Amino acid sequence: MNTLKLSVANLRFRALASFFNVLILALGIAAIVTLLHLSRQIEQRFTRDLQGIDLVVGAKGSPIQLILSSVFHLDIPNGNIPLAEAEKLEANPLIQSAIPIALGDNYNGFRIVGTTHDYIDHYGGKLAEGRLYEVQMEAVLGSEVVRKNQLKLNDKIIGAHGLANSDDLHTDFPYTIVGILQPTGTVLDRLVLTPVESVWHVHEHPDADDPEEVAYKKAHPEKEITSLLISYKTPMAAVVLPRLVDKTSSMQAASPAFETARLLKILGIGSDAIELFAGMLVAIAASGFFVTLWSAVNDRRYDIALMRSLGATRGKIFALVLAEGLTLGALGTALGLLLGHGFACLAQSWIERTRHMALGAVGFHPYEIYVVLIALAISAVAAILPGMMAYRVNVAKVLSKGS
Amino acid sequence: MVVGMLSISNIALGYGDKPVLQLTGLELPKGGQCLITGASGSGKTTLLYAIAGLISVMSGKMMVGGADIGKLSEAERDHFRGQHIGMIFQTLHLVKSLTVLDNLLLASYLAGVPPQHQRASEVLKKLDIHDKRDELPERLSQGQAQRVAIARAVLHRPALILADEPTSSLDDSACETVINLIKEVAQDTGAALVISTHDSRVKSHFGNVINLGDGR
Repeated sequence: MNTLKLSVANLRFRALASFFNVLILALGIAAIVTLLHLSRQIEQRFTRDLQGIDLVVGAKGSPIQLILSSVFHLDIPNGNIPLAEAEKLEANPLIQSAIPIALGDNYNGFRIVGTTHDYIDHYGGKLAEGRLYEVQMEAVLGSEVVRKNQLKLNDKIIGAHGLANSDDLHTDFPYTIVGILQPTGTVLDRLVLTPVESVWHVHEHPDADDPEEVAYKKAHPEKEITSLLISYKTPMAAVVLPRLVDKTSSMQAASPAFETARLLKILGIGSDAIELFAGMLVAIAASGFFVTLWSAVNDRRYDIALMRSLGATRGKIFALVLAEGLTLGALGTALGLLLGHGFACLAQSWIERTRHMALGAVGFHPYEIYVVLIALAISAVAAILPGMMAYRVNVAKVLSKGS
Repeated sequence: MVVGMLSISNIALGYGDKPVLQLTGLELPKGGQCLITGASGSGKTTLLYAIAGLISVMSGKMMVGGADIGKLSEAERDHFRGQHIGMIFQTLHLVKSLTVLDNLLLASYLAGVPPQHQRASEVLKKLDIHDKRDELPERLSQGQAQRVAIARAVLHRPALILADEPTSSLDDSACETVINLIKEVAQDTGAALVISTHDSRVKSHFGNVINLGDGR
């Protein structure tokens, strides 16, 4: 017999109330833990994909949309920019490197990106098999694309028009897989990479059945790309280039760091609401602990008096009630951590299934230790008043009453 | 000089400032047995609680097992009670969430002594309820629960057993059994025994009967 065993026996005796108290706390903890993991993973993912890109130049429109479409490949682009204007900008001495991005099609939901070998180098892409593309209609595939589609070298793949899965296939323009990349943990893993010329080639002859496409081609006979990913040569570029692009061209410049921070802040409003809800669950759980322990102490006044008569000190009785609160808290926290990790894995798997983003493994988040400590502290605080009531039980009076 | 188990002289007992009982004297040797009788409200239970250190002595002197109980702090009284006194109540009250065996081991834990599994088994066998050791109290009959309460009281071989109205709700046959059982376990462990009761059926079992009406 010890304090823990006695606490567990008492909690088991009120199994239903104990269970619901533990469950409510667990759900609150689980929501917090899930948010912690997902926000960390998304931030890590964004950080990895943003590395070394100081500026994105694309068509005018929403800067967040430009970043999402050209860097993270999550949204549709605002439009295209003339190749000539992009090349003129590339020649600016403040620019270290400018990687062209040409979007337009997808393969089974994975985007086909027309770009140079610099793009692969930028994300540290290394070949697992084959070679890099040399001519148009050759393709190098990211590891996720290969894994999900069971592809191999020299297979032919057909792109579909647009950036989401569709039936509008470019059957006359198959790509040949000439290389497969090793996993990088970046956006590269879920892209089909090809020379920019491939994208131009596939879209050179607009679909005669699509009047919008025909009209667009007529209005824009010149070659276009979607965006340029720019790295600065000097810090001065950060001051000069965005203004230069916005004022002297038909393009817009967007700072990925700034726009991503803005995006995370917008997302943060949603996660704040979930955090608030999770906090409310934890507060409800704490109230539940308090009510349960208070009524348990009230119901067990004779038990407590009896234990005092058997030699228990007031301190021991107080410790017993505190231990019951902490046991409830520990069970709720442990279950919450398990559920939180489970929910995070499910959410991760769902996000990956949508092919929008591949996230890292759900490991241990350093803040979890604070979650555990705070949950236990709340449980202990909720047990203090019932513990004081138990501490003050008038033994002789309660025993004399006999029940 | 033989040191008595219980020595009381000129005590006043009560709750708050209000005295409930005044007793000029009571002596009980080690292993001795006495019955305290009196009508309801005569202070029998108050006297037992004072001997157990559950309430303070207002005035006078009360020595229990050589210790001046009135001079001990509350925590010291708790410790003393756990180690040296076994109590049996009218309402048997076992902790509902614990098995019979755990109810006994709880007494060890609360008294701050090492768990006494062997001794608990011995006592349960002696009282013929060893087969109920893993049952919860709600599954015991009144008689079985009574035996568990007695087992709990004698687990630590206390020097003094205090029983408060142990037979008031029992029929004649059960009353006889319980009194004999308590006397027998007290004799086995060499414990002194003080029983408070207003149950006249018990009187014949004791030579030493103190009527609190005389002492008030």
